[in-house]
Amino acid sequence: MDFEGYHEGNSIIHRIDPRVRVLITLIFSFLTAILINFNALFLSLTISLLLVISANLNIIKVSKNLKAFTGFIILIWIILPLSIKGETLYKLWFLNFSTEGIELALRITLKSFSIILLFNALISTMNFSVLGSSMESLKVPLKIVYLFLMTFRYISVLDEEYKRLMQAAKIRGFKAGVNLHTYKTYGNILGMLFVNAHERGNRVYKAMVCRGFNGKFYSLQNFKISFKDFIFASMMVLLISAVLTLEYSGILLKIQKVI
Amino acid sequence: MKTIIDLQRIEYRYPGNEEYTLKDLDLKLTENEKIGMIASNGSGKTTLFHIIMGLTKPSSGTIEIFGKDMIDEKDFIDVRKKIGLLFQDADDQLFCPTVIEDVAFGPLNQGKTKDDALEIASDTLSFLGIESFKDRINFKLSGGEKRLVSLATVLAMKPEAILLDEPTTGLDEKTKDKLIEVLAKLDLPSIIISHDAEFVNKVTSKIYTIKEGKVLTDKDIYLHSHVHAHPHDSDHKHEHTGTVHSHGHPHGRDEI
Ligand SMILES: Nc1ncnc2c1ncn2[C@@H]1O[C@H](COP(=O)(O)OP(=O)(O)O)[C@@H](O)[C@H]1O
Ligand SMILES: [Mg+2]
Repeated sequence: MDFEGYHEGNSIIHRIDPRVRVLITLIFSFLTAILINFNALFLSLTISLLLVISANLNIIKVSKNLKAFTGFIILIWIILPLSIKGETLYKLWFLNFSTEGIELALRITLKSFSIILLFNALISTMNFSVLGSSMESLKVPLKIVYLFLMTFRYISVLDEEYKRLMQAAKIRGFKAGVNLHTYKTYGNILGMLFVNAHERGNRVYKAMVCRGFNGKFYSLQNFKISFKDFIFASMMVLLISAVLTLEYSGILLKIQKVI
Repeated sequence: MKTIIDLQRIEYRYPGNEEYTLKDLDLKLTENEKIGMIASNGSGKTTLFHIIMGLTKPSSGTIEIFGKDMIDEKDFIDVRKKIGLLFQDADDQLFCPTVIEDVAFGPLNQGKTKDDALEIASDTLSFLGIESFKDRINFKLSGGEKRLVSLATVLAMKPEAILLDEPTTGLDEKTKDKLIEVLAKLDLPSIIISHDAEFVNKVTSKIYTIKEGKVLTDKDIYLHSHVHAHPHDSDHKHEHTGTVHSHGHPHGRDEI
């Protein structure tokens, strides 16, 4: 897994104050998640794409990130058109593909891609410490920030532990199958993972105490808002308003139709 | 000579275990003293270090550090500023996302300003010859690199004595030589646990071991081998002279 993202770049986006980027990402992704109108959704996707381009991201890496998500999208395209009741768009033997289902699947696809690209462009372009500090300065509760940072630090350690345990099982001839023995073995491995994680947690805490930890964390980041951050934020606000306008004019049109 | 650590009649048993891990243990570290500790896996070396740092509370016995009786957690908070412990597993010690943050963590807790802490961190990394690691991500370091960064986090707090728990695991020969050089340059009172007899001989002046929950000093080890060696084989001269090597040798390799 790749947790590092693209924080080593030096594009316009990389130079925007991380706090501004985090805030814009939060607002924009929340808005995108609730959009209904297709024009608004397409505009949102376009904006995300533009941000990816201005962040000068490695396109291969971006498409890999998207690919990791396609399984889910394909599942949605199979399930929704068949399971949502509505006007039949296409009939294949006894299978009904409903217009409503297809529309919903398309909406979810647009939303997901738009939000993933947005995170790639604005969030993956900072390192985790910076992200943690900006969350902190945006008044996200400290416990959440450090939970998040520690997860980032230790997820690979956990991954290694899991691989070690699996290897130990395999060396002794374990082969996954559909039987009780397999489930029991996985259960044991999971149990060991929890125990190991708990003990590691204790040791990490001890190591922190040894270095004078007394419940307070100090950030090493220095943030400074500058004119370009202001320009960026204003541009984003304009674009977000445009998306909103499309969304609401769509709704208005619908209401007019109904009337 | 000033005494830094003085443990007397320490006993400790892990909850749920039948056996005492440490039993009637005495240990003394004075200034200018460098003690190597070679003992088999599970003999209680790590537990001993954690007791010295106040991370594990012994069920009985007295701990005196820098001439002061250690009674409660408050006493140990002071100790941790003066004695640096290098943990056996570097992944326990490095919990920040990046190297520089981890090294600056100690100085920040000591009340240093952000700029001072960063400067101390950079200086410590340079001292260890790893200033280029500064902005690297901790979990992407190799085992040996993690060890060096862990050492940096300990040294950044400017300790007056150090306890190193198996510092050479995962180090290649070159890095090990660097560590030997660094330890000589630091010249701090220290206790160093290791399975690597050659390394221990180079960085310490005496070698102790732990047996049945007790620390055996170099003198004890000598007596021990003397008593045992005689009746069996009186011709074996080097059994007498090889004080340390006869008994203090590691029995197992790394922990699995
Ligand atoms: N958290 C624990 N709970 C129970 N027993 C433990 C725990 N940690 C260590 N032990 C036991 O205490 C003994 C000493 O462990 P440790 O101090 O880690 O040995 P060493 O560092 O010399 O290899 C071992 O037998 C080990 O099984
Ligand atoms: Mg140990």
